[in-house]
Amino acid sequence: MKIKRYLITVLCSALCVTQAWAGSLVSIAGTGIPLIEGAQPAGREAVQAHARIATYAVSRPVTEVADFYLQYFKENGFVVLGGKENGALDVAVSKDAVMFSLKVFSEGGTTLVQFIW
Amino acid sequence: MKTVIRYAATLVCAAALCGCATMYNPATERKEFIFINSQTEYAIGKNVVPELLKKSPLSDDSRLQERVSQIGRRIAAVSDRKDITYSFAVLADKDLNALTLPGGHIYVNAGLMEAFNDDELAYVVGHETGHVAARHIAKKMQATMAYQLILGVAFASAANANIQNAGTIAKGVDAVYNLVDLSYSRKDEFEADTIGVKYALKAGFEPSAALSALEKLKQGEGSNWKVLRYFRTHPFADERIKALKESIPRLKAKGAL
Repeated sequence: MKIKRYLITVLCSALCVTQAWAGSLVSIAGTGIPLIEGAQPAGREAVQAHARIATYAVSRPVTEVADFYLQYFKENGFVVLGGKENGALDVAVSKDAVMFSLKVFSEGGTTLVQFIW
Repeated sequence: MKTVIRYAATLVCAAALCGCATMYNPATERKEFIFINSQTEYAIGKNVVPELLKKSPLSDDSRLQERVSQIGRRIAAVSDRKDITYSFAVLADKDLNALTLPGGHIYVNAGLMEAFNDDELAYVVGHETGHVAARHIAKKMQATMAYQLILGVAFASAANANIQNAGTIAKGVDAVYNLVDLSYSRKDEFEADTIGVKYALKAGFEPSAALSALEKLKQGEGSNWKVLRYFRTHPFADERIKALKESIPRLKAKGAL
């Protein structure tokens, strides 16, 4: 029983990206990018200047959400420009023909996840 | 029940915030929403540099390069924006002009270097650094270019850059280059002037040299086409001189803080 619990813990730790991913995707230029578990759309997808912006709200700390995405990008061979700064994540990422920016930040106690492409 | 309440509260907060990742910019003293982060902006500039140097090569006068570097280092040290590495160089062009590529790549033409003393040059370098600190170029790019094109230029030299997109990347590089060559808005020019004078003052230069620099240009030091070229990319000379006459005493009194 103890071994079973240990194995589950090890498996969950090793796959922490999967662990926090409930299966929802945001579609960017036809490619599905995982949404962290619990993320909910915060308003409608918007177009500002010449970019599309999709914002999600989630009840998880900024650091946890930032680490989730940084690990996802690393494991999936994305090129990343930028990183964590002043308690937020601000990156531009690229893989093959998919390119977008991701900003994870806190506003009014809520963590917002913003995809720009 | 607790989870439902928390979920509802999150949605209400998010809808009320209509979240945009605005950041306070100390140079403009405003909160701004910039899509393009600093590393991306730097990468864009780096990928546009070869295009610029193809059209306008560097000056081989090491004395001029050293002079602009020395002044540039002093200005960069007092800039509000420290998250990029500024670079300063002189182009061989005899035209009276200066320009800035995204990410802090600042170029001054040899013609302007020769016509201006160090204090006047500090104003010009401060003005260009002001455009960088105020993120004017990033704002201009995101306002006028498709975001995919901007990112395409940033990732042009990335290991996984899509070769099939080479044509699009070249188009993006051209678009950024042409954007740099166009004038800034009236608001951006005034803002870069104020910031530039502030940096020149903080770096120990004489801020009123900004007036003599603009007057020199206006009264036609050198041939007329050279002056016209400067005012095509940096217009509104009379209004800028007037505004600076008002702001310089104020900045001096405040010690440029």
